[in-house]
Parts: sequence; structure tokens; C-alpha cells
Amino acid sequence: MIIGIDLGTTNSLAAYWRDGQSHIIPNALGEHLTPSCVGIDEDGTVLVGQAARERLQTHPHLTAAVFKRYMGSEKLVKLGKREFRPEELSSMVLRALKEDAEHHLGETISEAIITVPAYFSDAQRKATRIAGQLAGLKVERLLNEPTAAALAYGIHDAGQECKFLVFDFGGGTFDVSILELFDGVMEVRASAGDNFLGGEDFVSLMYDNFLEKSGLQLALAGTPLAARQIQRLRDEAERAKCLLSQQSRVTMQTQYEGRDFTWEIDEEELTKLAEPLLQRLRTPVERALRDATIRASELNSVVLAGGATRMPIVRKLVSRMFGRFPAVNLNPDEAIALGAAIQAGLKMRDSALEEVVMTDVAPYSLGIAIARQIAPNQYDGGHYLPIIERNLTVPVSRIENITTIRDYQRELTVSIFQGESRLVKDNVYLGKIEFPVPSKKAGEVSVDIRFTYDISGVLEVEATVKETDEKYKVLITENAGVMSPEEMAKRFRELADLKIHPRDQMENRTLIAHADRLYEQSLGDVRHFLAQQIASFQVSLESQNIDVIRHERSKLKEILQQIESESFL
Amino acid sequence: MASQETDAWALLGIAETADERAVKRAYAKQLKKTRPEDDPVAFQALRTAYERALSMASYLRSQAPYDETETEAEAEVAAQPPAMPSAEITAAALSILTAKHAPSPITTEAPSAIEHEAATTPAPATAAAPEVSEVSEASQFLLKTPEPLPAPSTSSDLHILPRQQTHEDTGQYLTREEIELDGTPFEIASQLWHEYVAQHDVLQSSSLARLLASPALLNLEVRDAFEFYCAQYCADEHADMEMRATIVEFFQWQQSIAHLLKVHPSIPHVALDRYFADRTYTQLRHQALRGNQPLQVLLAKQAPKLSWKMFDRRFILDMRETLHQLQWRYPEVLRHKLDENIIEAWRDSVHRKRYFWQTFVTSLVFGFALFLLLHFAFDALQWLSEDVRSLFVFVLGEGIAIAGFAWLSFHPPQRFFRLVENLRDALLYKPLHVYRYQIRSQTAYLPFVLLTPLLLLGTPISEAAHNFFVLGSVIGCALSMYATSIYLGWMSYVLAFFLAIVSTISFSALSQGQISPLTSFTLGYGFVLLLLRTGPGVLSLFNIDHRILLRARLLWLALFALSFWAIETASKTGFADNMLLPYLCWLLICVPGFLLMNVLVSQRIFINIVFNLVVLRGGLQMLWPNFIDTFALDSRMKTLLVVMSLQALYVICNLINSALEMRKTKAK
Repeated sequence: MIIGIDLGTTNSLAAYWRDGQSHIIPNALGEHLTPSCVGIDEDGTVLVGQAARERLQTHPHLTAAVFKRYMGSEKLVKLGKREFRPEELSSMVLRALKEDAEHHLGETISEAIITVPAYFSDAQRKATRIAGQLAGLKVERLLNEPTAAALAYGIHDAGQECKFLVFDFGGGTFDVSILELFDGVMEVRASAGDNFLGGEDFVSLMYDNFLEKSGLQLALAGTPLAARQIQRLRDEAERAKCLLSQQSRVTMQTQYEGRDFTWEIDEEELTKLAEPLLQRLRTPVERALRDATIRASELNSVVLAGGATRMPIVRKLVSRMFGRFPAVNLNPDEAIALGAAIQAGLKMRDSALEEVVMTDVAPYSLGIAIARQIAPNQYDGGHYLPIIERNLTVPVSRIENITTIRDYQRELTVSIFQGESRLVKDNVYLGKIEFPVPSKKAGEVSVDIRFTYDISGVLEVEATVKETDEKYKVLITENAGVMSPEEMAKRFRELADLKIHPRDQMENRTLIAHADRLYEQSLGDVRHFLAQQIASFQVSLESQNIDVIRHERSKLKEILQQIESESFL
Repeated sequence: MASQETDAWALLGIAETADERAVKRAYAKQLKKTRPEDDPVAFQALRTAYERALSMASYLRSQAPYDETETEAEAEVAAQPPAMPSAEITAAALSILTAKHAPSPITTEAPSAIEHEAATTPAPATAAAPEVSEVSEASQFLLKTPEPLPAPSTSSDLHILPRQQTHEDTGQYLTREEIELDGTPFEIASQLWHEYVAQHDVLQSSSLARLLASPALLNLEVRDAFEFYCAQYCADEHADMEMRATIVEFFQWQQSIAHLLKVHPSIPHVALDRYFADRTYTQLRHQALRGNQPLQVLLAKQAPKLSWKMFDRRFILDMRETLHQLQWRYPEVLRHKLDENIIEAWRDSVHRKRYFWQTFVTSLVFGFALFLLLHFAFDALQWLSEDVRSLFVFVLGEGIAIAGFAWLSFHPPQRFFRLVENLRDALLYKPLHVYRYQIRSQTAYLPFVLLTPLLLLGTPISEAAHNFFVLGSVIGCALSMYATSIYLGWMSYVLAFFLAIVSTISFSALSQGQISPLTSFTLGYGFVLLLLRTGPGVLSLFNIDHRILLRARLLWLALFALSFWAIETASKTGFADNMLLPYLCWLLICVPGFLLMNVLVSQRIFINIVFNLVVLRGGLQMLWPNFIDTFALDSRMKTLLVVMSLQALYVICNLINSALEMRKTKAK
């Protein structure tokens, strides 16, 4: 069985394909969404999901979130004494999802299709693949998120002929894809996006504005907020953001040194504040339409995916842009995972999907650095020669011929880049390939550079020296953000040493984390009461009597809910 | 190509068709057999075939004659009121475009927009002259308010997944009225555009950006329409250049205009073409202002006429190059900014065989050398009486040279040039193509320049050894410099001529005891340098300010002359017994300055020969004050011969090189 995994910035979830339908796999808590949070307990065990999410506020130094944003970079996240790479943190989330799936399906899961933002770079894709391997999963394919969402939306209409746009706005990334459906073919015509734009940015925006407008910034007078306080405030901003989709006015509040700070915001004001972010949402849409050479009026439908599309201001923007209401037939949080499961079904050759073929595109151009002749024997280096232009259907293979520019040049170095800028310095460096060439006059040695980009977005570069017919293949390993195989093996061993919180205890652990958070947030009597309740729950845990535990658990849950709703009102 | 296209149809398993739908259906059918994840190679072949078939189909559609309803519709379209008063495209520009884009299968698509809306409009016929029907069709389109494609239906029948239950409340935070447009996108866009144009006398990029970020242009269809209005504006010949650039760069049409071409098949091309023309034109104007004569003439739209310029080889060669560049690199400038007839006239004019004044100067120099050689011959054979001999031989030499060069200009011996070129490549390939570009090779002649005179200074030697050294060092110097020289210009002819005169004067004056040879060389050298440096300076390589450079040069020249004069005086008055020390001092003053000015300088060969001779002769003169007297006439003649043969060698090298350069320019 291959499962589909949506490894998101804020939430992750897994789904599988069975009986002609996608099904979401519930996690240990019986929920669909597993927060992409990883934490370390006081005793060194690893916590994943809601439990870690709860501890984000109480133990900010022992918990990590939004690490998807650092995928493919060298940034290390410190949890307690150990430092983790974003791949490792992601792998822990994947492992948790894998266990959930194994538990739910009753079989061992070793293969998965993982979704990535369409606009993810080569390094980010590699990092995701490595995360899968670290979690003990064979990554069958990396699927672009908007494509997955489109699959989920379009699968039942694959026979029809239509064009639609997927607006995938998640917690940390934004993608737009345009698809065309005809005769069972789902063809992605173009993808565009922004890797650093998501719901989290709206939270940051509200957080920053709260600091400023509530007077907290003045009160702080330059002293930085404690990590805990920051996380609490961010959670408050997150809550306000979510509430704004239900009511038009929300008050954010916090306490600092015994003083209350509040800020009331309505939707109109948020729209004004978020104008730069909204502007950034518009650009990729225009570019995707342009690249697909499809005009907005030709689209049959606009579909939304990703949790952040719940925000009314985003929906309003989309409605106004297209002059129609977007389709929200599926839960935007789940659409991607459902699509990934469909892809898994396709991969497994499920009979229900026999008549469906999906083709995707390369979201960005890939090319090499070249020198352009500006005068006889004068060359200007650093120019970009795209070999695979963006939005070509993958798998794709393209050849460009280059020649030497110096007489009796012995060696040729081809630097590989990704991006759209005219000069390589503005593009992303991926790696290089060096090889000897026959020593001849300038221009007499010609080399074919072949770029092959496969369906998972993995690039292979091959250089063929025409004269000698020798071939050189590139291995882009020196990229700073990508682990080497040796390092991966080492990290794999280290991860295996980590204690992971047992899955069957997850619910209890999450509850305690939740209670701890509330304990920290509340004062006075409530606090004492909570302490008592937590203690009694822990006593019941030690009894190991399942019935007792279940009873105590539901009691505590109820109490926590009450406290939470009171404290927030 | 043809076979590739047949293959494409074969791979898809259908016969050639213009029906896009059929192509897609065939592709879908094949795709299910060759899935991208199973067989990437086969899939790529299929994909390529599919894309090719699609463009073929679109090409075939564009070739198919319009049916009646369409033509009718177009006539009606023409009757509509103009959208913009200034939106007129010259027939010429459009016809060029039509010609250019007709064979392209991708860009030409039948404007479906026209047929759709036109039927609803009242239809007074227009006077579209039949001979310009093609042009009028396009320009008529420009004049109408375009309203392409049916307004998208927002009703649920187009939503996909109608049978699935809506998962959650669709969260419609707006009413339908709020998001729907008050009119068609083109009406709204037209109104916005006109308001915008009315508000801004000079259209500015910031205001355009502001407008495009405004809520009025949030709707993508209105934006599309607005963008098209912008394209229409840019396609207009009289549009403001700056505004055109702003618009094009704002929408990034340089990267792709495929989306606009769906609205209209040619207007976006015209707009973009005009933008590129503007851009290149500005670049060319800068070049013209910086002193590019051919561009000055062409941009001023002057037809070729008889003037001294037409006899300037440099100008004609530059003009050829410029015309070539215009034709192949900047055709858009030719189309939109320059007069086709004038360009054609120039093209004819510069490709004719011509006689240049530089050729004349060269022939004079060559003739002078010939005169000297002939003079020796006549002297030896005792032909003619001494009275008329010099005059006759001079006229004869110059005559032969002028006639010969004139003949060569009009009947260049191409085979000979090719032979020389091959020979040069075979013998001197490496020094010419590899070493001459290396900075360290640029100074390869220095050992010759410095060592030989010192060698001569150090040891008193016999006449034979002396001649051997003179010849050896000079030839070595010349060869090394020739091999490592990159640039050879027309100024070298002038220099050759000057040196010939200066050296002759100095020798004749010397023989009569009127003037010191050193003085004459110094004077001649000073002149030569000044002349040389007034030419285009390669020294900009060092980023030295030109004014400072000139001052430095003059200062150095003054020092050079002063030191020379001092040594001269010292040697006459017997101030110093041993002249070695002052001579070395003089070298120390001269050599650094010489290096400063001459590394990478075009006429290096010549200067270096001169320098070498100055140093040589200066050294000899100082060491043996009676040098000239002891060797008497014979030796003097020998020295003269050395000088003259050097000049001849130089001129020949130069000629060959120029010929080769000319051939290369022609080959381009």
C-alpha cells in the first residue's frame, strides 16, 4: 500500500486510496490534522503533533514548528541539547503519520507519495525526499501540492473537458496551478507560486500590529519579549485570525507585567494592513495564467486548497479577481492529502483510475551560466542560459550546445542554476559539473548539455563532449542545504536512538500538554483547580487501568474545554 | 522538418488535421498507453509530437480561408466608433508584421474575438480598399472597442464536481453583485484607460502601478482587457516612448506576449516591436553621440552623397559593419525608426569597390621606398644623367606605386590574400592567436629594445658585427612585435610616411653636417608620437582620464626632448669623457614613459622600430663621435638600407594585415 502524505507547514495529514475513493487516516487522537510540530519531553522522548503544539507555548525552547520553511537550508533547530535539521524534524512528523497509517490500515507501510509546494526548489525537494527516507519511507514520488488538490477536485470529472485554476494557500507556502482536463488527461498547464507566503505571514502581521497598536511595544521599551510570551501572543494572533472568518470584529488581548493590553481589529482594517501580502497573492496568479496562455475568462472554475484560504479576506480577493465564487467543495485542509492518495492509487494502478493520466510541469526554469561575446575576444560572464524553460511538461529532456571561448582550453566548468533572471547571480545555484575537453581553438570544441527533469522534480545533468563522445553526469551534492548520503546514514542512526513517545499514550500526553498550557495561562483559583486535576489524572495513568484512564481523560477534557472557553470570552 | 511533422502525426495515430480537439483526443488515447511515470522517453516523444501537432493544427486553421460570416463580421467591426483617437497604426508597419508573422504557425490565430461581438452591432459598411484589405483588417480592429470571448458564466453549471456534496459552507462573504462586473470587461477597462489617459498628460509608471494595484482592476478579465488597451496604445506610432517602455516593462511583455496574442494576433507584436525599436534606437543614439560617424549619418537620415567621408576607409568599413548589425541584430529599428530607402542606398554605396585616401598615402610611402631602391639600382647601373636621375626615379617609383595600389583596390587578388592567410595561419598560428592576447606577450619586444643597444655599448665591435647586430635586433624586434600585435590601424600609414621623411631628412642633413641625427630623430619621434596619440586611445583600458593622460604625455615628451638635448650638448662640449652614464640616465627617463604609453597601443610596431633606431643610433653616436665619418658613404648607405628595408617590411606586414581584416569584415 502506498499512502499519500501532505506534509504541511502547520498541519500534516495522510490519506490512502481504496474502493475508488480517498480516505483520510485519523491520527492517534482520532483527528485528521496532525500539527507539524515536534517537541522533546523533559525526559528526552520525542513528541509529535498536537502534544508538541500545546507545548509550543509552555516549552518554546523544546519545541519546533514551521520547520518546512527551512527545508533545503542549513538552518538547524535547537531542541534542548540537540540540534536538528529541518529534514529530521519533518521525518519525525512523517514517522508519526506512518505509524497512524499502519495502525489504521493494519499493515506495514513502506512507500509514500509526499506533496511539496509546486514552487519548491531542487534543494527543498531533495530535503523532503531525505525526510521521507529518514522516516523509513520509500518516497515513490514528490507530488506538487496544487496538482494534488486539482486531482482531488478533478478526479471525478476527468472525462469532461474543462480548465481550472487551483489556488493553494497553505500555512507557509502559496501555489497556483492551472489545469486542463480532457479525455481523462489531467494536464497541469502552468504553476507559479511563492515559497515564503502563507497563513503564518498573516499571523506575523497581526502579531506585529498588536505589539504596535496595543501599546505593548511602548511598554516593553526595547526589552525583548520572552520566548514563551511571544508564542502565547502568536497563538492569540492565530486565534484572532481564525475568529475573523466567523465574526467581523475580534479583540486580541494579552497580559504583560500585570497590565492588560488589547487591540480590536475588524476585517476592513486587516485588509488594509494585509495589502502587501494580498498583492503578493495576485502576482503568481497572473503569471500562471500568462504562462498557460489561458485567459481568466476561459477558466471554468477556481478551486481553493490550503487552510489559509478559509480567511475571508483571501476568499474575497479570489472572488473579486475572478469575478465569481471559488469552488470549496472539499475541505481545503484535506484536499491535498486526498489528491496525494489519488496519485498513490494511480501509482498502484488501481482499476478505478485506469482511464486517468496526470501530467505535471517544471515550475521554474533550469539552466547554466554562460559567457556572452560582447566584442571580438571579449566575453561577459555570468549570463543565464535556460535549458529547461519553466512550465514545460515533465518528464522533460532538453539539450543545448555550448562551445569553448578560450583557445586551448583544457577544462570546462558548467554551473547549474535555477530561476528566471537574466543574470545567474540572481538565480539559485544548484551545483556544477567539471570535465576535461580536448585542447583546441576557441569555438572548435562543442559540448552538449542535456538537462533531464523527471516527474518528481529531480534534475539530472549530462554533458557530452562531441569530439570524444565522453559523457559526464552531474551529482548535485555540494548544495549546502542537502545532506550527503554519509551524513544521512549517520543522522538515520542517531534518529533511531531517539526515544519516541508511544503512540497509544499520545492522547494522554497531549491532554497533559494541553492542561499544562492552560495552567500557565490561568491564574488564581483556576490554576489551583487545574493543578489538582492534572495530578489526579497522572495518578490514574499510573494505575494502568484502561477504563479508569478513559473515564478520567474525558473528565479532564471537559474541564479543559470549559476553562478555555471561559478564559477566552 | 517535414519528416518530423509526419512522424508527429504518425505517433499520435491520426491523419493531419486542423482540428485541435481531434489532436487532443488522439494524444489522450496514446497517453494512456505511454504514461509519463512508466516510460519517460516514450512519453517525451509523444509530448513533442503532440505539441508539434497542436501548432501545426493551429497553423492550418490560420491558413484556412475565413468563412463568410467572419468576413461579414469584420466589416461590421470596422464601423464601430474608435476606441482611442490616436490609435492608428501605419499601414507600412502592419504590412511588415503581417509578412513577418504569416509563416509562423504559433502566433497566427484567427481572432475569434471579432466574430463574436460584431454581430450585435449596427453595420454601416466601410470603405476598406481591397488592396489594403489585410492591413485594414488589423487597423480596424484597433479602432473598435474589442470585446472578445463570451463573458464567463458564473453559474454553477460550469463548476466542476457538481455531483459531490459541498463539504462546508462555501463561505461566500460577498454578494454576487459585489463580485460581478457592471459591464463587460472591455467596457470597464476602456473607461479606466480613458480616465487614466485624461488625467495624465505625461503618463507615469508610478501612477500606472498604482492604478493596477487599485481595486478597480482587481478583476482579472478587466486587467486582461486593460492590458490589451495598453498594448494598443504601445502599438501606436505616436505613443510616448517613455510610456511605451514603462508599459512594456511593467507587464513584462519582453518575456512573453502569448497571452495577448490570443486577443489579437498582431497588435501585441507591433507594440513589442516598437518597444524594442525604441530601446535600440536610444542605444544607437548614445553611440552616435559618442562619435560613431556611420550612426550619426544614418540616424540623421542622410542619403549617401559625394564627400570626403566616402574616401575614408575607416568610415566605409564602419558603415558596412553598422548596416550589417542593423540588418541582423536590430531589424526592428530598420522597420520603425529608419528610412528603408536611405538604408538601401547606403548598402549599395558601401559595398562598391572604392579608392580610399589611406590607399593613396600608402602608395606614396611605398612609392618612396621604391624610389630609394630604384635609386640604388640606377646609381649602380649609371643609367641616366645625374641631373635628371633623382627626379625621374622619384616620379617613376611613386607612379608605379599609385597605379599599382589603385589597380589592387579595384581588382583585389583574392587568391593571393587567401594564400597569405593560410600561410600565416600555418606558420604563425600560435603567436598570432594565442600569445598576442596575453598581457605578458605584449612586452615581449622589450628584451630586444633594451639589450641590443647595451650590447653595442659594452663592446667595441667590427663593422660586420655591428651590422649583424643592427639587423638582427631590428628584425627580431619587428617580428616579435608583429606576432604579438592585436590592432593595426590606418594611422600607421601616416607614421610610416613621416618616418620615411624624417629619416631621409636626417640622413641628408647629416651628410651635409647641418644637423645632428639625434636631434632630427627626436623631432621626428616627437611628431610621430603626438600624431599617434591623437587617434582613438586604447589606453581607456587603464581607466585613465583623458585630460590627465594628455598632460602626462606632453610632460614626458618634454622630458624626453630635454634630456636628449642635454646629452647632445654634453657630447658636443666634451663635458663628459664617458658618455655611457648620461646615456643610461636618458634611457631611464624614456623607457618608463614609453611603457606607460605604448603597452597595448595599436601602432606599437612602428614606434618600437623608431625607438630601437633612436636608441641604437644614439648609443653609437655617443660612443663613436666619428662613427659616421669613419664609415663614409658606403656605410651610411648600408644604414639607410636597413632603415628602408625595415619600413618596407613594416608596410608589407601592415598591408597583409589590413587585407585580412577587410576579408573578415566581408565574410561577416
